[in-house]
Amino acid sequence: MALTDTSEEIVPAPSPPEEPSPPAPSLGSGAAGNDHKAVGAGFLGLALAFLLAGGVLALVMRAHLVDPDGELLNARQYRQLFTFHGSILVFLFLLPAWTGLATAMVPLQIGAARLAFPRLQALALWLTVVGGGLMVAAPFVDGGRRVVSGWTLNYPIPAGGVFRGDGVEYLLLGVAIVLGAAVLSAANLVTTIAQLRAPGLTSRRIPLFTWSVLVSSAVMLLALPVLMAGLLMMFVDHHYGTRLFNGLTSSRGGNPLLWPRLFWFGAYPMLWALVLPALGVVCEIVAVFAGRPLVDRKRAMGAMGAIGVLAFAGFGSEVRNLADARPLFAIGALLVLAPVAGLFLNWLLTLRKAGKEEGTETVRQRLSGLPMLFVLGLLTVLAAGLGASVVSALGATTRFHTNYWAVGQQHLMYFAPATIAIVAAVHYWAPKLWGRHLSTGMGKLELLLLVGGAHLAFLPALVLGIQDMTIHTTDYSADQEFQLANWAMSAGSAVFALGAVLFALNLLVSVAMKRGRPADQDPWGGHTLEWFAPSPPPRHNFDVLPEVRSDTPVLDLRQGATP
Amino acid sequence: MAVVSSPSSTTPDTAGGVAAYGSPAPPPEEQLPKGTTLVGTLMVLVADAMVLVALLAVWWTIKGGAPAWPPRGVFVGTYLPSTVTITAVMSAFSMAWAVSAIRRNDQRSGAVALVLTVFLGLAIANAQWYTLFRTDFGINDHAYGTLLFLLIGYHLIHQLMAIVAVVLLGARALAGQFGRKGYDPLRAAAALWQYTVVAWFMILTAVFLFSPHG
Repeated sequence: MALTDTSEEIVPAPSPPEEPSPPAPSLGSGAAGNDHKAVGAGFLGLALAFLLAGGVLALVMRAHLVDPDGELLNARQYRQLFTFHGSILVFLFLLPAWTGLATAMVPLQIGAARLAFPRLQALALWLTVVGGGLMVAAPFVDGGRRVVSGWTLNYPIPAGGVFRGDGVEYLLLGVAIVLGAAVLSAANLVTTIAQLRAPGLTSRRIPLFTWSVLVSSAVMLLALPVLMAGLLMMFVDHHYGTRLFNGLTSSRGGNPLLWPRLFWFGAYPMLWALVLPALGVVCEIVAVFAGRPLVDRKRAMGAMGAIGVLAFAGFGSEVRNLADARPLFAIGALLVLAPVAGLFLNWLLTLRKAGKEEGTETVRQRLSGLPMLFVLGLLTVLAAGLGASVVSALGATTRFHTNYWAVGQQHLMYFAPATIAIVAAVHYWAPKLWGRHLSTGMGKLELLLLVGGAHLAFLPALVLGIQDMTIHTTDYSADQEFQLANWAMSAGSAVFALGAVLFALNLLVSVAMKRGRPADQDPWGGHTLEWFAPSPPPRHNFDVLPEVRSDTPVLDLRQGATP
Repeated sequence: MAVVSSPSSTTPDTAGGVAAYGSPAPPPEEQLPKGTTLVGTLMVLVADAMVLVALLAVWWTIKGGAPAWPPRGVFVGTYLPSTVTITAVMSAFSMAWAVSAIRRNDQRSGAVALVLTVFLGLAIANAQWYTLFRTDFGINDHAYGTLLFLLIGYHLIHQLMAIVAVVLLGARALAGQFGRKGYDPLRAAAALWQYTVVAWFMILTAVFLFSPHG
């Protein structure tokens, strides 16, 4: 879109006409209509419910492992919990949570009145509900006892035998439907960002969260269908008795190495696609609380784009039986970390530059804003995740992909940063979306519990990795010296879970029960267009749009006519 | 948190008028910018193509490790796939003709082209169905059969979806809802149609050109 080059001064914007604002879309009201904010809230509510569910499963597992020779669960039950813990938190928490935030915020950030296809997004929400229902039903139907693969969903049909019951089919179909919903919403978001930007908001001026959503959606459009095709073939194997993923009867069968390759080709980029929006959220919050744009915004955009591309280069590092190509994939898995580190540097330099420009004291005061505190906590987790990932990627020993090092690495690199970023983002944007602040006091407690819990739960997993406790271990004996780290992990996950519960309570009390402090239009001193809309925005988001002449239109307005 | 004056707290400048602070926001129910439906459809088609790519990757991998491909005694023939190929190419042209006729507001040519396109599409779907129906092996006899059913099934499903899309949007086009100003949904349906042709050529290459089958 071409920028209209007018020579007139930027005039301070008049306040949008006062009108009684409509009731804010509440959590869970995604069914209410085609308002993207309501659909986004529906996604978020769904995701939050599954975060708590997946967390409960984790707690039961951790309670079992806290002592040697735990007797709470038998091996089959443990593996079942393990499977649903991973599947629920990836497919039913992280995926819909980011979809929800993007659905709610992207049109506001780009100055649009709507999504390109609002009904498609509502359809995606309902598909997620249906797929989630099938997944949750899987352990309870006939054959549910056999759903024990972990989240990699590897269920080859045994040679010469059959796989009895419907449990696996429920799980495979459920995940495929959830992924289909994610693909539809990704297509919708890409189209919205490509077509509906406000005049003057050129592609280089796209807000960084929206940019991260764009890259993440593009990755999903290319990666998730491969996983869906794999799930379709695995389903056909189970439903029609075919043998694509079992090569033992060579005249009839397929290839047992296929599934891990298909799965990780889709799942590895997907994990990065679930981290990318977290990086975008951090970019937004750092810039706003530093009171200036990022020092190198162009490189930040480039870094996120590079993560999207390189995410495909490292998928083989998770696949065993790819021995000849392993060095190449190791390089890919290592390279993808470089832009993350670059972003990290970008954020730190931004804070330093802000300190130099405005005095350390002013900036330090600003950094005590709650969303920024979340970001600072998140950075400590991300730093640990980056370190653990470098060691994994170097592939010094393949053990680190099959023992607890992998648990620590995946949780520190993907799960914990993404979760903390989601909490930070909701704290940051709740005043806009629902016109109410979440409680700051509770927020600080959440921050302590989530960040402290993440370190306490997942750093000991790295220790267990060095001690070589394998990933699917259901029991360990007292003489293996695993107990201390296991105890710490269990305590840490309880702390983390408490933080998540507090966050849910905070949302419930502050937003759903409307006890939160009412919010101004622009409570944080924002830079991007969403802060120009009323809080909460009317159904059509904007009555009037400011002229966009840079990547920070609202900051420009606040700074008056000075360029 | 330092509070900085928000846009709402600045004084309105009435002299500047609307032009000074940019364009009025578009009303929500306003028509989408030109090409939006097409862009969205293309995005979904990219994802859709990745499903086919994955199926074909599995095809090549299993073929590479199989002692005989297709398995001994399996016969599919070349007659039906050749027919489908020729018909698909014709339908690609008739679809393009239909779009260009509607763009020129030439309803009569548009009607002919649309009817022709749908007819050719039904012929393709019929031939594909017949291919699957008359095989002497089932979906679970061997991996070759499984993948053949999946690949031709993939094409058949897309062909049927494309027929439905073209019938619905063609009817709207003939009712005069599209023209030079806006024919975006029809172009989107045409994109789906042309994708079925591309998909068929990908399947044809893997299944029939690179796998001798007697």
